[in-house]
Amino acid sequence: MQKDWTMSSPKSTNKSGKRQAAGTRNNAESAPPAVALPVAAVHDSAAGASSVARYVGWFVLAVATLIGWGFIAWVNRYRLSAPVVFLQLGWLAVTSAVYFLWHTGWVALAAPVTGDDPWWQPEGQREALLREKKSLLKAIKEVEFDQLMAKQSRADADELIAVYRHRAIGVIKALDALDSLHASASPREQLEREVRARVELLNQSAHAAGKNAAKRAKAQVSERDRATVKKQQAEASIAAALAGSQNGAPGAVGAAATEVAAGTPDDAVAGPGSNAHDQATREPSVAAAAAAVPSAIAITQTDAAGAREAVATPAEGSTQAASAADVATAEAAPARADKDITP
Amino acid sequence: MQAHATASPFSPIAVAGTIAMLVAYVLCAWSAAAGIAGNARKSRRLVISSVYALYAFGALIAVASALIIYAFVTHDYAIRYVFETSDTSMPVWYKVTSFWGSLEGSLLFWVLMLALFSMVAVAVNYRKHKDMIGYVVGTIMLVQVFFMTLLVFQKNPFATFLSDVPTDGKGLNPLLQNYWMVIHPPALYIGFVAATIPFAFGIAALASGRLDDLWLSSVRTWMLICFFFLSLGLILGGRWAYEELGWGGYWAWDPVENAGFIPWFTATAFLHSIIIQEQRGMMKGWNMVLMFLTFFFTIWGTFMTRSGIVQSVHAFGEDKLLALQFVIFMGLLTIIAVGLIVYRWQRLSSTGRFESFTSREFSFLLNNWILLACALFILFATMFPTIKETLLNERATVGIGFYNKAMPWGGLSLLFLLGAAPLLAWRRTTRERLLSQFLRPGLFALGLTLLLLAVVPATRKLTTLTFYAFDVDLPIPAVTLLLIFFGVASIGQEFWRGIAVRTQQTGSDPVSSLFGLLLTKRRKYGGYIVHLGMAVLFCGFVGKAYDRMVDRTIAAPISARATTGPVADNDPAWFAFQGYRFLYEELTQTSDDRKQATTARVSVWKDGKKLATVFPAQWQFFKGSQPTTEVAILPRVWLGGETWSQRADFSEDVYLVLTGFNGEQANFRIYLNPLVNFVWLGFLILALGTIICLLPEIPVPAPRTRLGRAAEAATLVLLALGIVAGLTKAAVAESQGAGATSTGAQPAAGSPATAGPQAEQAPRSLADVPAAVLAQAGGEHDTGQGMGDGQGYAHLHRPSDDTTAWIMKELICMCGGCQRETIFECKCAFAAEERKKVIDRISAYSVATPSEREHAKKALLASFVKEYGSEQVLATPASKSSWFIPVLGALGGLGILLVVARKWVVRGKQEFAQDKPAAQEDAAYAERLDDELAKVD
Repeated sequence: MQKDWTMSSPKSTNKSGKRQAAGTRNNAESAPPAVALPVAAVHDSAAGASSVARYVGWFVLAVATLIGWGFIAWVNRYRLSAPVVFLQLGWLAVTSAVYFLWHTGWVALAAPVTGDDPWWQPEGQREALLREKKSLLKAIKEVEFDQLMAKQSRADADELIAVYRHRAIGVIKALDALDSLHASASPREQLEREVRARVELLNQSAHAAGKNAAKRAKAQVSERDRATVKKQQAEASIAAALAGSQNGAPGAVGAAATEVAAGTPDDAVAGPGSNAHDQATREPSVAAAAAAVPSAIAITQTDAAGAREAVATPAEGSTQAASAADVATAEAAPARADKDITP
Repeated sequence: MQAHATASPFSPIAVAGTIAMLVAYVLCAWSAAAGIAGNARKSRRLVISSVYALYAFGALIAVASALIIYAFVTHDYAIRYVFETSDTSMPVWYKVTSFWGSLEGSLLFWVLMLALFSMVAVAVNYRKHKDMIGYVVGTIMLVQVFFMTLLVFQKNPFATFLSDVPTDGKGLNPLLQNYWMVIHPPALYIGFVAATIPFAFGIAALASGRLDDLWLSSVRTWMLICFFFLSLGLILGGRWAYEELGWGGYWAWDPVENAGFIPWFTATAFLHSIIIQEQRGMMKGWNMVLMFLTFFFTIWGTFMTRSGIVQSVHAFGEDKLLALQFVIFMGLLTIIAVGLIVYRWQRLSSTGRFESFTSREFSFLLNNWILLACALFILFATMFPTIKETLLNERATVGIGFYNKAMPWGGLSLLFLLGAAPLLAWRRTTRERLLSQFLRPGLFALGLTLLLLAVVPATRKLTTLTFYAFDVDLPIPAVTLLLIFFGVASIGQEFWRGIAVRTQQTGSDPVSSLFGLLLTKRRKYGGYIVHLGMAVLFCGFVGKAYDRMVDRTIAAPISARATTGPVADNDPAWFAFQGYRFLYEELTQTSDDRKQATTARVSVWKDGKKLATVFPAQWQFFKGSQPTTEVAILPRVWLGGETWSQRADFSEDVYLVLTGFNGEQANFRIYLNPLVNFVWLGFLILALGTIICLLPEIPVPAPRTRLGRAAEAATLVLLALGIVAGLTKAAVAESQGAGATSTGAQPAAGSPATAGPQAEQAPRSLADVPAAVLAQAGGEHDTGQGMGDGQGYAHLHRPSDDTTAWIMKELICMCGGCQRETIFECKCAFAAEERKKVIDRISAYSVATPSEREHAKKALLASFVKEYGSEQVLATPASKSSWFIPVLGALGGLGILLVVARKWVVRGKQEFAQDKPAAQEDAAYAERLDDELAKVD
């Protein structure tokens, strides 16, 4: 029984506002390729199942509560009085306590996540910059408002606004640099990231499925085939989507998709199976990713430097700017280069 | 004496409750450990487990709370706590409130409130702060571990009797059997508890090193909630004291009241200084300190109330072990918080800078200093008796007068800033702009105050303030009114100009612009409404300078004489005070299964018109040691009057207390409390402003078509009309009711009927009352001293001159039962004897000249100190050393602030000049920025 204990809702909203199933794309995108996530942490294919499990849990809780309430009402001959109300509230608290206690123990006993867990990154660089921009825009508006209310002289207001504007333009530039990394720089990189994430996902899924060696060996062939077909389908669909989304260069993206699909057959074929096999498949996958990513790293690092430069302007006073720079620097690390910036 | 049965003391409720608490205790320890370890080791599973454990803990504490309330409502007296704080005759609501009626239950209630709040806080902020939520949970649960340790090992509310189970309980303290007490403690507790959440986030930010601004928005909301509930709790407590304690006031600087007031100051300071951090990136470290202080003072308040280290009507009794545990806990808190702040100090340094003293930043800084000085002064004064006793083994008392003479300095400074700060701009305000901003509000305030001084002589009254143990007489009411007018005018100007600018910007009508301002700049304009509420509250405080009090003893009501027809003008049942006439109609005694009520029926008249019939009473609870006074309050509001004379009674409470009775004879104490209703009104405005600040961000799309704008305007007009109509209807109803129905204290069960036909026969006017009656009643006096006659205690040996009254107000009643009341106010027999002593002793002195009066005052106070062997009998500590520390602290703090600010300003100017953006803006980006700015409201 797989269970999503990450406390995420069945649906979560991504940066572009599109809703997606929790535990599938998010985990896949954000997981570092070289890290083997434990069974409990992935639950990729079990996203639906975990939702069901959660709803079953809530359903059992509701039923238990209602049965208890009914019993209390029956014992008290259906007369609503203060003792009955507090007894029923107490019973609701009891069922809730049992529910949460179960989760407390269940989660604590799950296998630990090793390595660099993306879960600890609650906010990406983009969000920090957006927040910074919003704050600066508000500050400019506030100064303008003060000036219109005759609190501040034109000269003072202009001076202050100039500082804020300078800082805001720096933030917008940093955001642009970040966006260009996603959108315009390289559909190939984008595609590779997606493929890598999916391969990782399939690996994890297969790993979770097999523990018995005999079964693993037996299942290897069929799983391999299935995984290959799945992966090719997924890559083709992504490539097609990207090709469609890129004006003026559909052919190039399509070719890139084909190239990636053709150039990583071992990954696809050797995906599921034994741990050794997992490792073997992951290494080339990482190597491929590492080869594909340098430009992304370079851009990210430039971007981080840009962000720092932006916040190191006269308007050093902004705290958000400093944090944005920190985040930018942190995220420029190769291991995370594709984590928060995946569109 | 309680009847005891031989039933078994076994109680399944107690067993289940204890098990729930034990499991909860283990769970909260696990949650704290898992949260902190999980966050430190970056272990997701541990952190999530700790979050679930926090939820489970909340549910288990809810189970325990439901069980203890169930035990109350089902009279399970096998449980000691139920036996101690309730009885079978109490109404259900008081049985429920018995839950927090004593120490054990109030601790459990605290834990419950914190558990519920933390569940909400963690659920709301979990996603946003995953990287530090473990520390947040860990900090909250460490606080819970402390309280649970007390509950499990020392103050278990489920403890049962070892042998016989009593058949009935002792009952709740009669003073707590009041509807305000149903909501006052939860409100105050929520205020206390809400301060834990910002503290936990602060500690988590320090521990995780995540010191950006993301977590500040969450913290700000919780601190606003803390501020709101502390304000609510304090004002409800004030209303309870006003109605229940029968001393005519709402704030007595009681240590437990102060315990709620001190964190209110620091929370207010935090809410102001956090704006500077958000706007200018400054004062990060200071905000951390304020957050910690607010939480620390909530724990300190709990410590004062629970440990019994200070004397208070609210205190739960002395418990040295509990006091020691609290001290250790507070010490640990301080070490952890200070250690983390020092550890991260480099990262907490300000990135912005001050550039001028005439900037909003500096006004906020000043406001922070005053608020903190007020908090520390109150803390010092509250703890002074304990400190003195510990260090010098000498008891001392700090009475109301000590605070009332010192606190106005801080209050008036804040009142000035309340109006001045909104007029200042960020960074700096030039001299011309300063003049243009301050001119109109200043002129308005000055003009109105001068007008009042000319027209209303009472506004010229001088009030005594203290500065380093020296009393000075100053026109405090006039200064306060000036500052109130200035504050209201400056806020009005802010709204006026804001609406004008917005109207210009959006092209909408002024009403829409007003709502637009409130919704788009909620924090700013919500804050202004809070300021307005504070200004109105200060109107109520001004009224304290004009309240009057008198004691009257009336031999018999008119019902005692078998007379028919109109009551003669010279009937001894009449008594008069300050233009009001009171007719003592009847004294009845009734009882129910909880109490015996003695209720007087008194009609109140003015200008020959009957205003109302009121029912001051005394209730003697069968299970209470002392009677409670049920005061009768007749609010006099502007809309209630029909003549100009009545309208002049604008917002005055006529407050009647039945202080004693003997057969048909009754002793009444009458207070006239002008402007007191502004206190309640001010709080309502403050609450409205806080709620506006708490509103979530709502995008308000401006209507694009003319029809849309017209529809919007029409809706707003209809809304405004509806509100006005509703208010008018309520006012008219009140106006009609004021003359015909009874108000104030409701009669007890079986209480007397309304006044009979003979009572409706009105005397024509006060002028018609024979002089003999007025003389017998003691006549009128403005100086506040009672001049009663007849028998009883409260009215006995009243002062006949100002000097005697002053001395009586400086001496604490040492009867042991009265809580810090002076012998001037106290209604007991001991106080009457003390008053007699003062009158006897002062007769030996000449009080013809000011110097002679001063000499007499000093000599008499010295004689009482000698008699009691310590300064405990004095309401104001005479020792100058007691004043030295607060004065040194306040002035020293101001000096440091000015020196440091001066340095900051000089450095800030230099840095700003160096940091000016030199390069020309990139045209394309500038255009994009303009586009983005156009979308921001």
